[in-house]
Order: sequence, then structure tokens, then C-alpha cells
Amino acid sequence: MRIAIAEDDVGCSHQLQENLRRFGRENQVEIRLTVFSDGAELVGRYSPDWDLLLLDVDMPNLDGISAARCIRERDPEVLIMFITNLAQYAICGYEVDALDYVLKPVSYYALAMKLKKAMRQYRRADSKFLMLSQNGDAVRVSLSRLYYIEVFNHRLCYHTADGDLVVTGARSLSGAEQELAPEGFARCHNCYLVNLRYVESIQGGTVRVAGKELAVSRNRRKAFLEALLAYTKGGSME
Amino acid sequence: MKDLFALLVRPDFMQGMLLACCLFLIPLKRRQNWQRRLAAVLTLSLLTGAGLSMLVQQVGFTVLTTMLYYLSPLAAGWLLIYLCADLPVTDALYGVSCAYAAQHMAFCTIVVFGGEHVYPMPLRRTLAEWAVHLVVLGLCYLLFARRLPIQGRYQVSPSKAVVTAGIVLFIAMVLNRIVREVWQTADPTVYSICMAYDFFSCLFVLWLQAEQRREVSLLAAVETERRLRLQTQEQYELSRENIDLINRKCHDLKHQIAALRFVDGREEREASLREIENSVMIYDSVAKTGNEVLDTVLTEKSLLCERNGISWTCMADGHLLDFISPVDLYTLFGNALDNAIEGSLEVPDREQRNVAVTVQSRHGAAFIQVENYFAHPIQLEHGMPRTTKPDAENHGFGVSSIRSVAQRYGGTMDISAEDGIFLLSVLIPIPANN
Repeated sequence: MRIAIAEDDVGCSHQLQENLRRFGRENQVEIRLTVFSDGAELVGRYSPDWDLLLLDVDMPNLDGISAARCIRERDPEVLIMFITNLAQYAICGYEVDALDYVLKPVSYYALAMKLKKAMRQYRRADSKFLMLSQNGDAVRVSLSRLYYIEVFNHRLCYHTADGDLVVTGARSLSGAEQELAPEGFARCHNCYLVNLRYVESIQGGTVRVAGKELAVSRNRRKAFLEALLAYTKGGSME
Repeated sequence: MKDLFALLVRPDFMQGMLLACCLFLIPLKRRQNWQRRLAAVLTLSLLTGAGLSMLVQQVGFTVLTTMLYYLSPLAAGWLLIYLCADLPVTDALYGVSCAYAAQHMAFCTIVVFGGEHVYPMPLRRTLAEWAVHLVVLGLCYLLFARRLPIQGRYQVSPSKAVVTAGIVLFIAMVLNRIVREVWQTADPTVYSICMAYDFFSCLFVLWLQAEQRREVSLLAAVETERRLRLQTQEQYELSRENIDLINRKCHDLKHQIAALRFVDGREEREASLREIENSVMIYDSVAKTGNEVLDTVLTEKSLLCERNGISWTCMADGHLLDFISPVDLYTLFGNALDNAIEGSLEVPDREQRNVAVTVQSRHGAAFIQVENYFAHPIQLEHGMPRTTKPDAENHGFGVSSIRSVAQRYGGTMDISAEDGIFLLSVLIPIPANN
């Protein structure tokens, strides 16, 4: 896991690094640390190379929350956690979609609990693909750009960010479901297999996926919600 | 046309079942557009029934026509209840079975007092049969149908639905047919007595269902009252402890302020003031989450944490939870935090007494997580923790309360206890009008 720290107090920074290395040892995780002593520096040199950012809320040039705001504009995915000595400053961390915050002085176990949460929720590189054949040509569909799969007239239609793809063939939606369930896909209806990543809202009997309203059947609703919760919670999808 | 009309209006099995199911539908929670669905099902069923009657008139009672003729009203009734009421298929099966028992009672009454059907049916007979149907079904509605649903649903297990259906079907269809074959012409008196037996069997089944429901409600009410009493007592004790804590703080504060009067040097004054500042900071950890109820729960629990040396963090967008009623929200977070705190207390290492609460928006839903370290191995039974508390009767309800709140708002809950961390997660879709 690649972590960047922005902390102006040298003592705290060292403590933090120690704690992070200890976490890496005790949990058999490789931790790659980059240390900044100021928020402005981190923002200036920011690139989507890190999985988790630990930002001190109280820094001289650019404080943690403002730094987080700048970074969020560029990278909506990276995990952010604040470090603060007074809870009320970090309570609104959700505004920048932060994961959580830790109180100073940072206790190892409190930090460890949140790092485990970070590990559950960080998404590894989305490089998985589906190979499909359309009219004899092989087409590659990236899972991270696949919104949902629909079945009608014995054909599967793949709705992706780059357009819709209709594929005839022996593949059934249930087969696709088995294959894709560990990748965060769930069936909300007999006709739809949804990429949970793109679920925008659920209201009663419909779910909105990437702007489209899809029906949720009564008998699948409970399982679908549970799959959504498991996906949101993170961790292994088995 | 006149024939068709006559067929539609006769109080046959189909019409009787449809009427019974309509009456049983009344106390159930209905789906959207139920009027249109009801009209559609009624029209379709009546026409099917008439069609089958005509078929039977032409072809007689072969195995196929008999099965169609006798099973189609049951299928129609099942469809009527399933399509018009908001309940699962098994509940609908239970409903149609009870309705069938009621309809059968009407049928037996007619046979005992009026003998078998005669076709074509004279007008007086038709009216009399309808009258009997209305009286018997009406009484069944008043005495039984109204008492069976809980909050608009039957909420019966699939096995109960199937067993009830099986019993009613056996009495009303199988035995009835056998009796009819053997004695209807051979010994009409015995036949009538068997019909009377039938009537009372069905009556007994319906009465038993209503009684069971009543007892279950009674037990639930007693249980709720007991839990409420227990909770009130716990509340009182908590209140008392909180007041004690605050009293002590105020007492200390009084002394510190009094001592401040005699402090001369600037540095000493600074030190004393800082000491006072610290002792008043018991409320620092408390969130202004934007939701009053959540703030209240957190304030209350923060005092508990402070007393027990548990450190906790809370990052919550309280506004997300505005659509949840105060009682439900208090139940959810109160129980979740109580569990987390108790779990933390059992951890020997004080450093590991941490509780983390987060409430964020995910996928248009409120995503709530409460986590803590735990000591004992926790066994999960059906996804719920088995209570390790000695007083098992009085505890262990916390988690099921949380689950029922989540489900009531159309959401779901999950518990995992692994890697030394107990994690409670709840996902509740946020209604559109918020």
C-alpha cells in the first residue's frame, strides 16, 4: 500500500512513520511511504500514485482540509484520512469524502483499526477485462467501464461507458453473474446484472445505474442490497 | 349471451373463491394500482370459470376437465391475493388456503340445507346460495380474516403456508370428492353428515389460525413490555451516573476557580486556567453532526466512554439520517454504540479500547459503520452474534433491533468479526424526496 503523509510537526511525523511501519510488519503488508512536511507541497507534487493520504489538519501553509479539497478535484478515488488533535475540526471530513480521522496523539491501535478499513476499501488497479466476440470479432470490455449487462431476446447487451454492445451467443446472464460476482456485480432482476460501482441510488423498486433506471424485482431486492453493502464495506468479495 | 350471463352470475366454485379472496384481501396491505389489478384478475377469472363451465357442459367431467375446473379457482384466488397485496408468494398461498376453507364452509352449508346444485338453477336458488355465501364468508371475515394479518402481511413461514394449504386442500377437495363418490347417491344422510364434518373441520382450521395469531401478539406484547421496563431501568441508572459525573466535575471546577483567586504569577494562572479548560473538555469529542438525535446519542455515549477510558472517533454526515424517525435512530445508534463499548471493555489492553463511528453517503444510501476491537471469540449464528452475556434472556436483542430498523427503512445490515475487529455495517437507501 502506497501512503503519503503530510505533517508539519517533525516528532509527530516520525511517530506516524514508525506506527505505519509497525502496521506493515504486523499485518504482512508492504508499506511504501512518502513524507511531506506541508500540505502545499503535497498538492503541488500530487499525482495519482498513492492509495492513502494521511493529512494533518493543522499545518501552516495549506491545512489538511483545504489540501484535501484540491486533491479531490483531481482524484476522486484516493483514500484520505485526517490527523487532528481536536475532533471538531475533522468531523466534517465527509465533505471531502474522507475515510475517517485519527486523534493526536496517535495511538497505534486506533490507527491500525483505520488502516485495516483503508485496506478493505482501496480498489486495486481496474485492469480486468471481459473478452467477447461480436460478429466474429474479438472485443475487449474493461470491467471498470461496464455499467450493466441486460438480457433480452436471448441476447446479452453490455452497456458500457463507450456505448452498448449486443452479443449473441451461448452465454447466459447467470453464467456472467457467476463469473462477475467476485468483481462487484450483482443481479437486481432476472434481466439485469449490475456493476455495483455505478449504482447511484435505490428507491423502492428501481435502481439508478449510471443514469439509467432499472427495475429491481421483489425477490431479488434483499440479496441485491446485501451485495451492495458487502461491496461498499469492501474487503474480500468471496 | 344469456347463457354466458347465467354462467357468470351463478355462485359456483370460482365465484365463491373470488368473493372469499376479496374479503380476505381487505385487511391486507395492498400494492399500488391494486384496483386495476383486481378488476383484471376478476374479469379474467370469471371468464375462465364460465368458459370451463361451458366446456364441462359439452365434454363432461373427464380427468382433465375435472382438474381444470377445480384447480382454476384456487389458482385464480392465489393470483388475486399475490397481485393485489404486498406480500410474498408463500403468504399469498396461506391466504388463499384460508379463503378456500371459508368458501368450503359456505359450500357445505348449502349442500346440507339445500342439497346439491341443480342446473339450470332457478332464480330463487341462485339468490339463496349467494345469501349463504355472503353470510358465511362475511362471518369468516369478521371472525377470522381480520385477525390474521400483522401489519398488513401474514408473515408466515413457507412451511406453515404449505402445510395449511395441504390440510385445507385435503379436507375440502380430496376427502370431499371421495365422500361424494361413495355416498352422495348411495346414502344421502351419511353424505350430509360428512358435509357437516367438513364444515366444522374448516371452521376449526380457521379458528386455530386466528387463535395462534392472537397468542403470538400477546406474547410479543408481554415481551416488549418486559424489555421496555428493563431499558427504563438501565436508562435511569445511566442518567444517575451521568449526573454524578457532572456533579463531580462541577465540584472540582468550583475548587479550581476558587484557587485561581489566589494565584499570582502569570504562568501559574495560565497553568490553572489550562487545567480548568481540560476538565471542561469532556464534551469535545461530541459531534455537531447536523442531526440532533445523533448528537444526543453521541453525547450520552461519550460520557460512558470517558468514564471507561475508551477513545472514540466519529465522522458523520448527520443530515443523511434526517429521514429516519428519532426513536429508530436512537435505537440503531444506541444499540450499536452500546455493543461497541461493551466489546471494547472486554479487551484487556487499554490501548485497544477504540470505537470508530462513520456515517457517509454511498450509492445514494446512508452507509453507517461502527467498529471496535473485541476479545472473546464471537460466534455468529445466522449472521447474528450469539450473546456471551450470562443473562441471555435480557440481552442479545440489541443487534436484532438494529437489523429490524434497517429493514424497516428498506435497508440492510451486516456484521463481521474478523482480524480482531468487530464491524457493524448498515446501508439504508435515502428516500428521493429528501
